[in-house]
Amino acid sequence: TSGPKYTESEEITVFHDPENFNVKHPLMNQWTLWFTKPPTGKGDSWKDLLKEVVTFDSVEEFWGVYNNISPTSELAVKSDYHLFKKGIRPEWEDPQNKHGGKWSYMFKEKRVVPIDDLWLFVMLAAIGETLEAEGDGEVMGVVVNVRKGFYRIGIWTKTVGRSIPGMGDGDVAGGKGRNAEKSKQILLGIGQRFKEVLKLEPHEPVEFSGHSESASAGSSRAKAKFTV
Amino acid sequence: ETTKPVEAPTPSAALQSLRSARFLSRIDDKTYPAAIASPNPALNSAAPMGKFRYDKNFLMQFQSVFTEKPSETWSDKIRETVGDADTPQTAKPGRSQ
Repeated sequence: TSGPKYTESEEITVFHDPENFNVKHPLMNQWTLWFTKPPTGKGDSWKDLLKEVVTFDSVEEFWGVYNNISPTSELAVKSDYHLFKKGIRPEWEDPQNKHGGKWSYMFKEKRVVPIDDLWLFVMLAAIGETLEAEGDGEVMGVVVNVRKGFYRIGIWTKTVGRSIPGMGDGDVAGGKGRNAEKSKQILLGIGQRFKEVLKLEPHEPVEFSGHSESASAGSSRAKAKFTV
Repeated sequence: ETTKPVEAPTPSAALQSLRSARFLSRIDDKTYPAAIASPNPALNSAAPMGKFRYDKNFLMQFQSVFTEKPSETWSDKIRETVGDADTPQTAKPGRSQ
C-alpha cells in the first residue's frame, strides 16, 4: 500500500474501517474496571484482593476490554467486577462513597439468569450515561458479585437523598441546594432505569439501602430505604 | 502453564488507530455507514459539544467491530489482576492463538 488511505479531513469511524479509523467515541466520564479476587484462605487482606484492571475513556476501548476479559459466568465464587468513575475506589470508605448507598438486585437462579448479558447492559447504561439525567451526579459505579447461591448487581450512588457536609449550597448531589424531594426523585429514577435495564418484572422489587446502614447491620440485611 | 503467550512487539493496526484517533466532537447522520444506526438523538439534543450519551442499541453495534486487546501487555495484566483463571480469558479471542 502506498500513501495514506484517507484524507486528513475525512472522519473514518471503526465501522468504516476497523483497522484504520481516525475518530473514536468519547465517554462523558473515564471509567476504571476493578476486580475482586476470591480469597485464598491464607489470610489475604481486602486490599490485596481488590485489583485495578484498566481505565478507559472511549466506546471503542470499552469493547476492547470487554471482548478480552472473562465473562462473569466464568468467574469463581466470591469474585466481583466493579466499574467505577475514575478516581473513586469501589469501597464504602472512599470519600465519594461514604455518604452514599446502592440499588441492588439478587438473582438466585444462577443457572438460568443471563448474567453476562445483564452485567453488560448495566455497564453500557453506566458508560452511555443513561442511568441518570445530566447534572444528577449520583452514579458512582456499578458492581456484580458472584456468590455461592446468587449473582447480585448493584449501582452505587453518592448520596442516600440527604445533603453531605462540605458539598456546598448548590443543586448538586449532596448539596444543600437540592431539596429532599428532588434528591429522592433522582434516586428513584435511577432505580427505575436500573430495573428496566435488568428486565425485571413489576413484582420483582429492587431495593436501595445506605452503605452505613448496611455496614452497621453486619451480615444481616439492611432495611431497604427505597424500593422500586 | 510455563509457556508464556507471545504478544506482538508492535501494536496492531487497530490498536494504533485506537491510540491516534481523535474524539468525535459532533455526530450527525453522515457520521456512519448506512447500515449503522446513530445514537438516539433524544439523548443528545441538549448535549454540549463532544459530550455524548449513548443508548444500548447504538453501543452494541461495536461489539463485533472492536475486538482487539486494549494493550500489548494485556495478557500479563489480566494474569496479575483477574488471575490465571483456568477458563478461557475471552469468549471472542483476538488474534493470539
